[in-house]
Amino acid sequence: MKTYRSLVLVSSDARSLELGAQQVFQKIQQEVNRLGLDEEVSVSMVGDVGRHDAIPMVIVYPEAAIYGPVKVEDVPFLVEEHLYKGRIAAGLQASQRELSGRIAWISARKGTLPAEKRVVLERAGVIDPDNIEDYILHDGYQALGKTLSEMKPEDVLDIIKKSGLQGRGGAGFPTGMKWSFVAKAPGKKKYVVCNADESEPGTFKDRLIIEGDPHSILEAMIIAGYAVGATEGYIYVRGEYALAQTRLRNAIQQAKEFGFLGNNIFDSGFDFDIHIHSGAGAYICGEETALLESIEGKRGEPRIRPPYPTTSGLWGMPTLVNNVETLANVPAIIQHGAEWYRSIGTPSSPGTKVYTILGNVNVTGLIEVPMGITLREVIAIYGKGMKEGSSFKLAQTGGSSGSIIPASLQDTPMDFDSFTKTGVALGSGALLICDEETCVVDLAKVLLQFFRVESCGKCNPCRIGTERSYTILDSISQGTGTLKDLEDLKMLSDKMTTLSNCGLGQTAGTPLRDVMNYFRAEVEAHIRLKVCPAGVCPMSGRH
Amino acid sequence: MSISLSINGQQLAAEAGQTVLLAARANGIYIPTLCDYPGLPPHGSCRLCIVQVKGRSITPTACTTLVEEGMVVETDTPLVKELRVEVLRMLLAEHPGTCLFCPEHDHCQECMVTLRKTSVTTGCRTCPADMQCQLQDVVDSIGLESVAYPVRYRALPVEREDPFFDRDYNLCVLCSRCIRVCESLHFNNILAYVKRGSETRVGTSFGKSHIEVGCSFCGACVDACPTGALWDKTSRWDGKPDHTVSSTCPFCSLGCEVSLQIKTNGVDRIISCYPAQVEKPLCVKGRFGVPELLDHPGRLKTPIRISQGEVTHPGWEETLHLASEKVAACCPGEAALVVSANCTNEELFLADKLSRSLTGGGTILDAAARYGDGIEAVQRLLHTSQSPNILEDADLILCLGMDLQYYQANLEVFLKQAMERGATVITLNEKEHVPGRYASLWLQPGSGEVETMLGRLAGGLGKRDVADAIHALKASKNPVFLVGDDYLVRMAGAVEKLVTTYQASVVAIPAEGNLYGALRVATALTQPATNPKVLYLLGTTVPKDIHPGTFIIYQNSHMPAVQIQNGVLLPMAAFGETCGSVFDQAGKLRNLTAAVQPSGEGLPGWEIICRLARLLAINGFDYVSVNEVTRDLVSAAPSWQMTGRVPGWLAAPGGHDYLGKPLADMVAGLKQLNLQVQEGK
Repeated sequence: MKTYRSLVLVSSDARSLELGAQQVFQKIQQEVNRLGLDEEVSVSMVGDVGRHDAIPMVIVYPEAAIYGPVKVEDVPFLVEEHLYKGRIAAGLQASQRELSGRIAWISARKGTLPAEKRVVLERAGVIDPDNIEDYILHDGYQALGKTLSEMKPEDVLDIIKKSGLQGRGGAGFPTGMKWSFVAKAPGKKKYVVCNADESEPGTFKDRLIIEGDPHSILEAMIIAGYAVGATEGYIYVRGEYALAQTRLRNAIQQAKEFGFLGNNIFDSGFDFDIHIHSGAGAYICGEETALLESIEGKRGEPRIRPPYPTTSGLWGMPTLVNNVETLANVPAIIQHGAEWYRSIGTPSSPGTKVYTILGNVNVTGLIEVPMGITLREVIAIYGKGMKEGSSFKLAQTGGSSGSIIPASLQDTPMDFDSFTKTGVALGSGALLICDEETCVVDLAKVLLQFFRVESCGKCNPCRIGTERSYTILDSISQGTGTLKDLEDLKMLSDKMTTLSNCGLGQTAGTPLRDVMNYFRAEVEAHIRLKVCPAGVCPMSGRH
Repeated sequence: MSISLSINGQQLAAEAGQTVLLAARANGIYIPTLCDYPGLPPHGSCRLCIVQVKGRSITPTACTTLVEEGMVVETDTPLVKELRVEVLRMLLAEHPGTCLFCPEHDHCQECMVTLRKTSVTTGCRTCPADMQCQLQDVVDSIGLESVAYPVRYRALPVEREDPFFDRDYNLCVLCSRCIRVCESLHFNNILAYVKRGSETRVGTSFGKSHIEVGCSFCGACVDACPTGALWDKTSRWDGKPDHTVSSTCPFCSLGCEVSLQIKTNGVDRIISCYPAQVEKPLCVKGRFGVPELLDHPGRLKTPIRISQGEVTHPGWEETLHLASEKVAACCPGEAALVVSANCTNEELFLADKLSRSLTGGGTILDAAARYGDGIEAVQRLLHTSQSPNILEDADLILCLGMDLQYYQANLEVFLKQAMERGATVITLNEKEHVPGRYASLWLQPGSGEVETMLGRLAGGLGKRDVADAIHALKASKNPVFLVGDDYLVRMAGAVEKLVTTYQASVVAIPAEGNLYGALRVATALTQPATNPKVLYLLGTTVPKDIHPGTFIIYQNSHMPAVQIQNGVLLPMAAFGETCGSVFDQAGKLRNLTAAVQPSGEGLPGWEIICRLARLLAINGFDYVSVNEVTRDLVSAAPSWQMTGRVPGWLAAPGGHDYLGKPLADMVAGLKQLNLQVQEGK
C-alpha cells in the first residue's frame, strides 16, 4: 500500500457540491500537481462531514486542520501554506469553536468525546465514497468474505439474532427475527429491499450514511441475501436524494467490477444483484408495503396485512425490507461478533443510534451514540446546550410520526424499551429541539398539515381524520376554537390510531395526543383567552 | 375444509380462506360496509366492517380477516359501535348529508318531484341515489342522527362531457369499487386514484375525458358505485325503481342476461338496464341503450295507412283489413315477406309459417344480403358455435376480427383471465384494436390481405410473420377461435377453413341479436318477383330500389327512415315490451320478458302476424299466448338449410342495428362513440 504524508478530504454533501466543492477539489489536485506534491499528498472527496456552517470544507490530516468555507480562489494559498510550507493557512480555518472539538465526527476521531460510538458512520466522512478501494482499505467487504467463506446462512441468522439488532426505521422490530421469517418462507425467488425512502421531516441519517459510505449498504444487502436465500435486491431511494443515487449507482458498478455483485460471488456459487429504484416524492412510500407497490410500478398505497412482506412481498415473493441504518450495522456485527455488538447500548436495545439534531440548540447535525443516552445528554453534550436566551420546552422525535417529549421526560433513556414504557416513540431518529417560543398548537398544525397532504387517501379515518384535525387546529390558532374542539381532537386522534389501515394513519394522531396530554393548558389558553402564549399563532379571530 | 367459529355467540361453519365478512353474511349476520363488492378482492378502505376478535388487541376489519378455527368474533359490541359511528362521522365530513338529516325528511317521502313553477314545497331530490344509496343504508343501520363535523364540500364540477353517465365526485366516498371493478374486467384501467391526502379523488389520467382515455363504457363502474357519484344520464333523476325484471339483451348474439329497472310512476317506463349478475358485465349497447331506444321520439305508436303519400290513422281493425286485402289479392310469387335477424323466435316462426301459406316459400332474411355468398359458411360456423364460457378452459385463444373497444367489450374479461392463467392470446386484425394492445401476438395483415393471411395460417406454411402463430396453434391442445362480426361478414369461408384445419372450438359472435334463431327456422332463399306487389317488412328497413307502386306492410317499433308511398305501418312492441325468446350465438334459448306496456297502441309482433293470418283465413294461427308459439317453434325441426341467391332489391342492414335501424341513430351516446371511432381511425 502506498503511503502519503498528508491526506486532504473535501466535503461533498449535496450542499457543498452546490457551493463549489467539486471545483475546490479539482483546484486542489491541480495545485498539488503543480507543486509536485502528488506523490506525497492524497486528495479525495468524502461524504457529509457533519456540519454545514462552513462548507465546502477541506480537512487535512494528520493535523486534522479544518478549513472552511473554502473558495476556489483560496486554494493556491491553502495548498502552498499547508501542504508545501507545512503551516496552518491563516485566515481560512473554520471557526475556533468547532476546532476545539465540537464537531461530532472529528471529536470522535480525536477521542475527546468517548460517548460517541461509531458503528454505521465509522467510515462516513473519512473515505472517498466513490472509490471502492478506499472502502476495502477500511475493512470493507471483509464481512462479506467471512460470510461467504466461513458461514452457513443459518450462522448469519444466528449472529444477527444474537446481536439483538432492532430495525432502525422507527418500529424497532427485531432484525434477526425478520430475517429468519424470510429465510423460512417458501418461494421460488426472494428479494432484499433496502428502504432508503427516508422522508420523515428533519431526518437525514440514511442519506448521509449512503452518501458517506454506500458500499456498506451493498455489503449488508449481499450478506442478507445470502442469509435469507434471496438473489436480487432493490434499494428504494428517495427521489430527492440525487447524490445518494449517483453514489449508489457508482458503488454498484464498482462492486460488479470487483466481483462482489453478480454471479458466483467469491466462487461461493452465490449470486446477487442490486437495482436502484427512485422514489417520486411520496411520504407514504416509506411504508414498506406501499414501497413494494411503488417498486412494482403501482400507486404507493399500503397493502392489507397479513400477509406480511416476509411471506408475500415484492411480486408476491418473500421479501426482506430493512432500513438503511439497520443494514449498515450488519457488516460490523458479522466482523466483530454479536457479543461485541451487545456491549454497546443497553441490554434491551444494543448498538448505536444515529440522530439528526435540529432546532434551537447551539450545534445541529448528525451524531451516532449508543442506545440509552438521554435527551438531556444529547442537548448538553452534542447540541452544546440550548441557544443563548432560550430554554428547553419540548423535543419532537422521529420526524412527523414520532412523539412530543416534554421537559419532564428528558431524562428517559433513549432506547426502544424505555420509550415504549413511557408511551413515546423513538421514530426515525430526528430530534427537533424546541424552546419556549414554539407554540404547541402551531407545531401540531404543521405536523397535521404534513399528514393531510401525505396520506395516501385510501382509508377513511386517515384521509378525513387528518384533514379534520388540521381544520380544527387551524381554527384554534385563529382564535376561533371552542372547547368542543378539544373533545373532537381527542376523539379524532384516538380513532385515527385505532381505525387506520397503516402506520401513517395510526401515528398521525400521536402529536395531537401528546399535545393534549402534556400541553393542554396552552391549547386551552388559545380557546378561552384567545391568546397564544408563545406569540406564534395569528389569532386573527380574536375580536 | 370446514372451519367452525362463533360470531355474536352463534356457532357457524365457514370455509377455509373465507373472510369473516363473507362468513357472517352467509349466515345472515349484517356487518355494514361500503368498499366490499362481490367478485372483487378485499380493500379494507372504508373501515366500517371492523369487528372484535377475542384475543386480539386491535379491531380488525372483517373484510380483510380470514376465518380461523375456534375464532370468537363480536360484530356489535359497544366498542365496535362507537368506532363505526366515528368512521361514519368522518365520512360524512366530506359527503353532503342533506338526504340524511333533513328535519322534513319524513314528510318529504310523501311528496313527489314536480316541474311546476310553484312556491309549494314538493320535495327535494338532492342526489340521484336517494333511497338507493348504500351510505344511507349504512347510516340507517348504525343509527347516526346528526352531522358531527362541518362538511368540507369538495366543490368539484360535475363531469358531464362523456356520454351515458355523469360523474359527481362530490358524492364519492373513495371506496375504489369503480377502480377495482374496471381493473378486474379490462386491461387498461380507466379509473384510478389521483392526487393524494385530503385531495385524493377518483379520476382518469391527466383529467382527460373517458372517451379520450379509451373507456369502453361497459358501465360496470356505475353499477359498482355505492353512492350517487356515478349515475346513468337517462335515469339520473328518476328516483328509486319500483321493481326489476330480468330479460335478455337483444342487441347482439351474445344474449347477455340483463335486469331492467322499472318505474311505474305515472308513465310506466324502463329507467335502466344493468347486468343480472354483478360478475357478468354488459357492454355499452345493453347497459345504456335500452331506455333511449324505447323513449325515442321516432317510435311508431299508432297504426297508420299511407295512400299515395297521404297519411291517415284508421285504427287497428281497418289497417289490418286493408293489409289482408292487399295480400289476398296477390298471386303466389307476387308477395314477399322479409324478416330481420333482430326479431324474436316467435315472430320469425310465425312469419315463416305465414310466408309458406302465402307464397309457398319461406321468409327472406335481411341479414342474408349482409353476409352475401358467405351465408352458408356463417350458417355452419354458427351451428357449431359455443358459449364464450369455453374460453375459460382454452390454452390458446385466437381472436379473429374482434375489436372490443365498445361493443362486446365485456368479453375482455375472458381474455384477461386467459392471459393471467398463462394461456396464449393471438389476435388477427388489420386495424388498431383493443386486444392488439396486450395479446401475446398480434398478426397484422395489410388491408385487403386478411383472407390471404387466414389462408397461410390454414396452410400451415410457417414463414415470417405467421410462423409463431402456426407453431402455437399446432402445439395447442384446446384452441378456441373467437370470431367477430367483421370477419364473419367479410370472410366466413376462410375462417371456416382455418377452424377445420386446427380442429378448434368456435365462439362466433354475429352482431345480429337472433341470427341463430333466424337460420334455425329459415329454409331456402326463394327468388321472388323482381318487383313484389306486396312487401311485408317484419322489423326490417324499406329497400331503396323497390318499385314505388309496391304496397308495403311495415311492421316495426320505430318509424321507417324512408318515406313510404303506399302501405300500412303497424306499431310493434319493442324489446322490453313483449315476451318471447331468442337463441344466443351458442344456440341456447333465452327468454325475453315484457317489462312495460308497448308504446302507444303497439302490439306484440307475434300477435299482429296472427291477427293478419286470421283475417286471411289461414289455419294454425289461433295462438292466445306467446308461450304456445314458443312451444311449437321449439318442437319444430330446425332447418339450417339457408341456400339460394339473395334477391337483388334486398337492402343489406348494418351490423349494429335494431329492427332495421342503426342503434346509433336512436341512442345519442352511441353516435358520439361512432364519431370517435371514425375520427380515431
